[in-house]
Amino acid sequence: MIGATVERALRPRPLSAAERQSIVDALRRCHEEAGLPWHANVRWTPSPSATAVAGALRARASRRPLTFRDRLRRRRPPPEPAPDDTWKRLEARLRQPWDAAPWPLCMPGVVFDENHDPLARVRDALADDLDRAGAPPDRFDGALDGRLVLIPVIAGMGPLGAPADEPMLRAFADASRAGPWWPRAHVTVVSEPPTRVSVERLGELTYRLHDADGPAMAWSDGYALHRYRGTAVPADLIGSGWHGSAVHRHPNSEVRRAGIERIGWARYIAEAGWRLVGTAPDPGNEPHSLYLYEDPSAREAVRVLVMTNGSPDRSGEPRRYAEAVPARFTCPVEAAAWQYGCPPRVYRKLRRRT
Amino acid sequence: MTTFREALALLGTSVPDHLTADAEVPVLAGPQAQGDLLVFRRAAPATVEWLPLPAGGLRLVHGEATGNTHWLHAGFGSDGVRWARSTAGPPRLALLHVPDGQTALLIHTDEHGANGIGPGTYAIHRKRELSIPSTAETVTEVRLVTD
Repeated sequence: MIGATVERALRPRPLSAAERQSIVDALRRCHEEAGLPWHANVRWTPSPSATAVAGALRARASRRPLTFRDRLRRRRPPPEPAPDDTWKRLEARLRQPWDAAPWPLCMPGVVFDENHDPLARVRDALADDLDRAGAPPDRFDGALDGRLVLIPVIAGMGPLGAPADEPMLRAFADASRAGPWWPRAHVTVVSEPPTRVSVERLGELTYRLHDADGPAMAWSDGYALHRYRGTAVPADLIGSGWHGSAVHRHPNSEVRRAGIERIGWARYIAEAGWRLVGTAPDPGNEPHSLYLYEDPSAREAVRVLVMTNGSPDRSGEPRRYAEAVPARFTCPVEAAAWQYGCPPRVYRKLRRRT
Repeated sequence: MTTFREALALLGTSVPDHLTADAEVPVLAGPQAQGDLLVFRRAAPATVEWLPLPAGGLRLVHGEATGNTHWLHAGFGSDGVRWARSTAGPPRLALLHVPDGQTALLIHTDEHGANGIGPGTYAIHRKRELSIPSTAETVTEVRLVTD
């Protein structure tokens, strides 16, 4: 049941005019609850990207004619307004229910706890990307220290369950159909929800961003996150179709790991130009042989053993397996014996392999 | 002699089209491999608790990706076959004892077919590989291969 709710929330759809209106209304209520004056100045950005948000924060608030001084200043972009305490005051008001009520607040029909926020990884991925790109930190993205998992919302996707009966939480959840938003004294910058979200389900209550062939999260202005099973991977690597040599060249070992997982050792060692260390007939598996490969750059602390299945698979072709073994092996038979945990002399006497 | 068809029939499974149904299943006492499993003679510790195989066979490894299973079966007229859990940890999966004159069968529900195991005491091991290295600091971990 929860899975279906989460998956429905992950199916992005554009905001309707009514939803836009109700988001603006919810933002107003948030301000009122926090005792802040409502400026009624909401600016929408097509995505939460740092550039889009910086631009919207910089844009002039009023349409009064430019003064001579303004004209002089136009030669360079106006400075980004400094964050004020609007975010801090909204956040303090949002925390009040926790300070007042015993932990945890209950939400009818939905049981979540801090360790089971189904969208924490999705939210964290976006937050990491925004932070790295220098997006202003005074934003709301549907979570508060991970504590708002009680009303698991993710910005742009709406609440997953009905929030507790508390006006501020209600208003905050109502605003969560919008993407991340930045509240300032004279303006609130609100980003549009994504146009694409692609996840992989890890467990009953765990999802992470995953798309092997394109962006895992994308917005209409081209801002996108690329994730392979949760690992941030460069867009051009996905664009190259995960060529082994591009994977091999990448300095980040997590990216290489994702790439090797994606294309498999067999394609990887071929495309990345791994060197054959040794070959030997596979005992009990005539006419096939074992092949041991090493990384010519000596960067990966493993060698790869290529072995052929003893029986053809349903396509009629013998399937080949390429698997990593400790780098200390120079003899493919000894590496194969290690894989099965038997002495090499036993493996050499193998009579039959099916 | 047991044929491949007869071995798979023990599990209520038919022979995959690309394999020969009437091929005889060789009975061997030497080391033999079936996909990611390897069976070889090995004395068992005196303390092991030998158990009879369930009538329907013992599911040794279930391939999560493929749904295929390696079954250990007492075959035909071999009710003296015993197995024991291994306390040695991976990669040792189980111990097997086949009395004189009897045969155990290791049967795969898909391409690996069937292997006959003659009298003796054996260890059954499962293949392992190193996981893909993640960071230089990480000790490369070992994981069991699933086929």
